[in-house]
Amino acid sequence: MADPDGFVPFYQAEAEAVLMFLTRRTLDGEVALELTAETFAQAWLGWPRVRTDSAEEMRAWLFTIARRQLGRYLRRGHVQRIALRRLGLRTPVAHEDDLAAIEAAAGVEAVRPELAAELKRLTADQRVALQLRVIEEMPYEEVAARLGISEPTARARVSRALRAMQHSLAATWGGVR
Amino acid sequence: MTYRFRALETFESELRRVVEEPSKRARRRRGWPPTPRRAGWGLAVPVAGVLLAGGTLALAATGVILTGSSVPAAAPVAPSEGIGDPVSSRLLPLQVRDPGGGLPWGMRIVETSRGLVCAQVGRIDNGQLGELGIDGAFNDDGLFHPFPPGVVQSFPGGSTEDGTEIEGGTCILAGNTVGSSRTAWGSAVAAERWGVDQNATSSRGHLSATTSQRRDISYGLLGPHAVRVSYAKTATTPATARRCRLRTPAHRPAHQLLRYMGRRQASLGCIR
Repeated sequence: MADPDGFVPFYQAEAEAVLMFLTRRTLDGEVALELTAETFAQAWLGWPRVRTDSAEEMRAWLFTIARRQLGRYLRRGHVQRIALRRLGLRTPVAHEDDLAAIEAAAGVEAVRPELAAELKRLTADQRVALQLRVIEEMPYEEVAARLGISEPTARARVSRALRAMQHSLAATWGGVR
Repeated sequence: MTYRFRALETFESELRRVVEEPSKRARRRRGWPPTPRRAGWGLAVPVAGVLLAGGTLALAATGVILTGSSVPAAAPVAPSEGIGDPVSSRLLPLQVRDPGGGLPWGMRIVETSRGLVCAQVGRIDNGQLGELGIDGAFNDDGLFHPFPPGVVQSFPGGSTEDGTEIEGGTCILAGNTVGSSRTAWGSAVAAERWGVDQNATSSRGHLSATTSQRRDISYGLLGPHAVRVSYAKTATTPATARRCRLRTPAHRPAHQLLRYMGRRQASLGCIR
C-alpha cells in the first residue's frame, strides 16, 4: 500500500503534466482543470491499492486514470465529479488570467479555431475515428474494435482525417502530443 | 511548492484537507479507505454476458474495492512444454457490467514462450484483471485478487463433447487448445464459461452453481473483421461446434452467431 503521506508530493510532481495533457486534448483549460481535479480525486481513492514505488509506474497509473476521465468527458460531454463529490472536494476555480496561462502553456489557443473548423469538415466516421486514435490514444486495433470495423479501415479513416487537417495541424501543433 | 498556475495550488490545499485528515473515522466518512463492496449476486434468473473482441461492447464503470493477495498459479509451467510460460499480457479495453453490480468483467490476452495466445477472463479493477473473494473463494474475504502477469487461468475446467477433460488453467487459444489432440480451427475462437469467478467453490463443480449465482460468459478472439455477434437463448448446438468438438455443455441454453466482413459466419467456436 502506498504511503498516504506520499500523495501530496505525488500531486505536486504530476499535477501540471496532467493538466497540460488534458488541456491539449480538450482544448479547454477550464474543463482540463476539472478533469485534473477529478483525476487526482480518483487517484486518492485508489491510493491504498497502489503496490509500487516506481515513479514511472505510478505516473502510468495516474495517466490511465486521466485518460479514463477524458474518455468519459468526450462521450458524455460533461465532467463527471464522482470522486470529488465523494471526498467533499471543491472543484478548482480559475481566474481568466490563470486559464489563459494554462491554455497558452499548452499551446491550445493558436490551434483551436483552425482545429474546430477542420473537425467540422470531416465526416462523422472520420471525426470519431480521429477522436479515438488521437485524443484517446487508442491503438488502431482498439479503434477498430470500438467502431466495429477492420483495422485497415480504421487506419484509413484516421489517415484521411489527419490528411484533411494536415494544413492547420502542421502550421500550429506540429509534433506536440 | 510553487505552481505556474494558481488553480493547481488552490486544489492542493483542498487535497491536503482530505489527505492529511488525522482522524481515521473522518477519513472513512469521506471515503478513504474505501469500504469493501461485495458484488450483488441475488439475481432471480440466469444472466448472460458476452465478451467478444471485435463486437460492440458497453463500458462499465469501475467499482472501488480493496485489493487482496494475488491469484496463485494453478500449476508450475515450463517454457518449452504445454502452453509455455506467459511472457506478456495485455488487458483489452472491453468491459461488460455484471447484472448484479460490482466490478465489471473483462478479458486480457496472454502471450506465452511458445508463441501461443491465450484469452483470460475475469473481473476488472483499476486496470487489472482478477477475481473476487466471494462464493467460497479466498475465504470470502470480499477483496479483489488480481491475476499476476505470469498466471494463466482462463478456464474453469470441465469436459469437451468428446469427453476430453480440460483442467483449470488451460489456455483458450486463438487457433488451438493445448492439452488436447484437436487441430487448429483458424484465426478465431469463441468459448463459453458457465459459472462464477474461477476460484469460487460453486465454479469448481460447475453444475452445482445455484441459479442466483449463475453467469453465462461468452468470450473469444474473433479477429479484426468481426462485425456482429448474435446471442440466442433458445438455439440448439450448431453442427459446426460439434464438428470442431468445442466444449458444449449440455445445459447451455444459448449460442452465438458471429458475422464477419464478406458475409462469412461462424457459430460457437468455428469459422466456416
